[in-house]
Amino acid sequence: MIKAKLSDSITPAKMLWILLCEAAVILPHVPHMRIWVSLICGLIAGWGYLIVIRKWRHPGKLIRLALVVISCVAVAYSYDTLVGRDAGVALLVIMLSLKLLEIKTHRDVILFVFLGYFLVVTNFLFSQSMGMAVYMLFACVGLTSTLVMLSRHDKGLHAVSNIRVAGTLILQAMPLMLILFILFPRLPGPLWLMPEDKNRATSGLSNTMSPGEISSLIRSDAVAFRVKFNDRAPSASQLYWRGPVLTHFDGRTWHSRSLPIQNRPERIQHSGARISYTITLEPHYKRWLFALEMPVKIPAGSFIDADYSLMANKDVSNLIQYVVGSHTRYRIGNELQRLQRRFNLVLPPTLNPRTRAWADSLAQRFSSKRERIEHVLTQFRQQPFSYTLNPPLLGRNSVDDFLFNTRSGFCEHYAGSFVYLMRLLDIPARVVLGYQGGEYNELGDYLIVRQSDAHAWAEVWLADEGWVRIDPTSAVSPERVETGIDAALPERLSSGGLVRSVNPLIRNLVLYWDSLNYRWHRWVLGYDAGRQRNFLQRLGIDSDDWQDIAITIIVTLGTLVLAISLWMNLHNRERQKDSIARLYQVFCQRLARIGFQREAYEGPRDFASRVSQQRHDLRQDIELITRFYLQLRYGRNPPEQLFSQFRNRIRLFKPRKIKRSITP
Amino acid sequence: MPGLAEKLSTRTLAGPEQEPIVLHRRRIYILPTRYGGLFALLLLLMLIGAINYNNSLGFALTFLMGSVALVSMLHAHRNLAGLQIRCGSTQSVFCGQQAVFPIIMNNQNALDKIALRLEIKDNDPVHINIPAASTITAKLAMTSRQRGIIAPGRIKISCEYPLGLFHAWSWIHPDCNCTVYPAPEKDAPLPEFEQQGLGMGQSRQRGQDDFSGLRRYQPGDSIKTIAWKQSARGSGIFTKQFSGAGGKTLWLDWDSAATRSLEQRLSRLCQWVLQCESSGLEYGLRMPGQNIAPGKGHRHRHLCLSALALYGQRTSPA
Repeated sequence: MIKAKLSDSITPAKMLWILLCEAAVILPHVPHMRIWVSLICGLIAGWGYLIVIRKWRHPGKLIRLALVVISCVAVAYSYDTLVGRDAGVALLVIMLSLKLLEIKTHRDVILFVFLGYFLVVTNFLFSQSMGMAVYMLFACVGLTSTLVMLSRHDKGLHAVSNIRVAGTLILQAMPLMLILFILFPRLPGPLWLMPEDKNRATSGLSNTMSPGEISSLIRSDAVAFRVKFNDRAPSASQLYWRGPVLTHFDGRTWHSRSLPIQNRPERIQHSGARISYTITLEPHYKRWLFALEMPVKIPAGSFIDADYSLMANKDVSNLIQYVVGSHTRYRIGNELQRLQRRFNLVLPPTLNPRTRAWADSLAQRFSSKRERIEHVLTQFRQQPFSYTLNPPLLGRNSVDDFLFNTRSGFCEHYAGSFVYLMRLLDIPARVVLGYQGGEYNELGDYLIVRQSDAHAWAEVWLADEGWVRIDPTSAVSPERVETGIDAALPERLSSGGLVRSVNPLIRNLVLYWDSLNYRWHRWVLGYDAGRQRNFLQRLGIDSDDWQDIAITIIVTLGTLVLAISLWMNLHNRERQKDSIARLYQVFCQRLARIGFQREAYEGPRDFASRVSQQRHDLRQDIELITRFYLQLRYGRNPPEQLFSQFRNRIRLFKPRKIKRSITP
Repeated sequence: MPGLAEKLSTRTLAGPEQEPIVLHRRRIYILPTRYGGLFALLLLLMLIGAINYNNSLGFALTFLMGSVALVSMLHAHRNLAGLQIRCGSTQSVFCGQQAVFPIIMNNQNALDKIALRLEIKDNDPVHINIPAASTITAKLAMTSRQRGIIAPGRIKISCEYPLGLFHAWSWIHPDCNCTVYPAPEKDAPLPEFEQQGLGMGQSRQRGQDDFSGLRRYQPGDSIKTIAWKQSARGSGIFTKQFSGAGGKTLWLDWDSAATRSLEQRLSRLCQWVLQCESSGLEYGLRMPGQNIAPGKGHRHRHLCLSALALYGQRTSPA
């Protein structure tokens, strides 16, 4: 084996480079790591650097072991666990830093770089945005250039040259990666379940609704999901994206609570044309999938629950894509069983006395349930109710307060109090959460639904119609449903809603950026087993036939590798041609410096003879160089040594001006 | 495994090759290094992670790094391919010294050849860079263990550039060798002088600086002894003869260097040759089956020392 050589030692410049690489890989982790982890990393990195520049002693095995044990204990204490994503990353980051303390030779650095690659992948567990991908690509160039540096076996850093080599390698690897990305069989579902990390901060709908909850969501411009319609998109007033259904009221908050006995929902009766579309759903760590009311053709791995909500079999913890077919003309819940009926009528007793009294009077005035509903909606329309993002606070009897005192509220106030009233009027009713509307992106021909489109509406059950959607908000503010949240709530824009800014330039930029993101999500992040099957089918490859796939991968990769290797050789030869011309240029420049400018019309031979006539002393050199040049440039099969001879000649050719005093 | 790889890769290399040796693509072999294996393991781990979390960018990165490794193999291969190699002339050494084989490598490609490693088996390797379109000589040292003629045999030329994941190598067998003189014996007794009847210089007591005449210049004569006045007349260059130096011829006799073993005898004779040469004496060598007529100078010295080096080894190829 190679003996430890001087060239294998780590110079301060190399160490600095290594530290930079480490910092680049760890930096994106800093915001979601515990602060002490970042601090420890910084301290250890500083120590590692001092060891190299001050030639301090490396810590002994015992100290390193102690450090490893201490950090494991610290992580376990701080994260409550050693497995899982967050604790794992913290541990990995600390280990990477500790590795710095034992860097003595190139061997240690190689292991360090390998750990670095692994840390790059862990970043993708937190963010898979385009920005992160580009950043990590650069981090990989950095790590790879470190490997190049090590394989040079000398003391120099060669930073620029190494980066160029690493960049070339990565660029050449790109087409191969693409082939593997497309063809490598994707397996549906995880190999094993990892413990879910707690305290995931997410924005999105929850399965409860209390006054103020949705209005806080409405301030967020984060994308909830994007929709691509196969045909024309339905009109805005039909865009009700159904989410969780809330049936239980505790006096302040609505909860979703399923029946003790789950019965399968009846079939959805539908008519009219089916609307087919693909939804790219951002992870929200809940089980429900959003779909246009009412989903009829549902994706694999999902089901429709007793409340007609589309549910996934497991939490949506990754960006997913699914295809749904919906009908906007439908009928659900022909029959309501006794238990279900009671579930949708029950209310906490004694609260809201004024509302109860009003409901009693209404019940006496109108016998028909349709009339009761109409009357309540008319009241919403005619009384001075207002739609606002900043409603006043409500007291203990929140429905009384809202209906008779404040009369200003957001969709959750209207939906909640409406359902409350309906139940008092003996009409089974419930709250439905979801999104309403969305913004059409003409650039990408898809609909963006943001958190700000979150909405709550009501469903009432009528004996001859089943469950019927009623949106009390539209009675108060018809613009909300017809033109969207910003038309209904101009105040939202002033409170920081940049996205749907009035400025058309900014708006277009934002939409353009979003359409890029959508494509990224659709084609890169959402490329899963199902999408791969469809895509390969279009290419005429059967994705179930492993043999077929393996042969395709091998043949395409082989062809590409061959092509790259040919290109590399071609490149090599072309460079030599270039350098011949460049060297001749140097020759001409040197002659120009002593007063012989080559004219544009002058061929190399004419130029040479002109100069030779005036400068006999240079004649031999000039004629030789010109002959070499012509032979290399235009000759057939120039001898192999000619190029280096040509080069040497030009290197040595340093003509000087003749001094006047010598010439008589 | 390395043994097997060596066996397979040297299979076609029977003996010394004709120069220049060109590293064609077909004679370059390539295998992953230990780190290459480790890297594969790392990629496997990354792949499992990507599958488990169904992480598209995880897949992308795994495939990218795998492809980078694959492409680096091409680069390692190219880093060796096309090199033209010949062996320069060697300088004879005394046994125990390092024989140096200048390996002249010509890189005609437009790209530099980086971190090439040349190694004669059981000797220290040499790392070398060869810039594009230029020629560089690597000096490969080999410890001489016995007198005679030594050859480096198969030389391994390899590189792990650019990522250290693949080891590309080729075996070359340049036709070069180096004469190893016997090691001169330390503190050898002085040779016995045998006087030649040339009519001059019988009396040693005259002193070495006495001028005794002129003779035509021979290569190897010291510049101090040139008779500049006489030489300036234009009829050739002359060297001054001194009775102490030129007047005596020594025969270094095999029989007078009687010691215990053959090698010791050769060592002693070697030492005598060196002593005679450094004191400017003319000397001849008398060996069984071979007599070298008296003379002096660099070539004569080499002739004598080679005869000693090759004594009893005539069967080996020159």
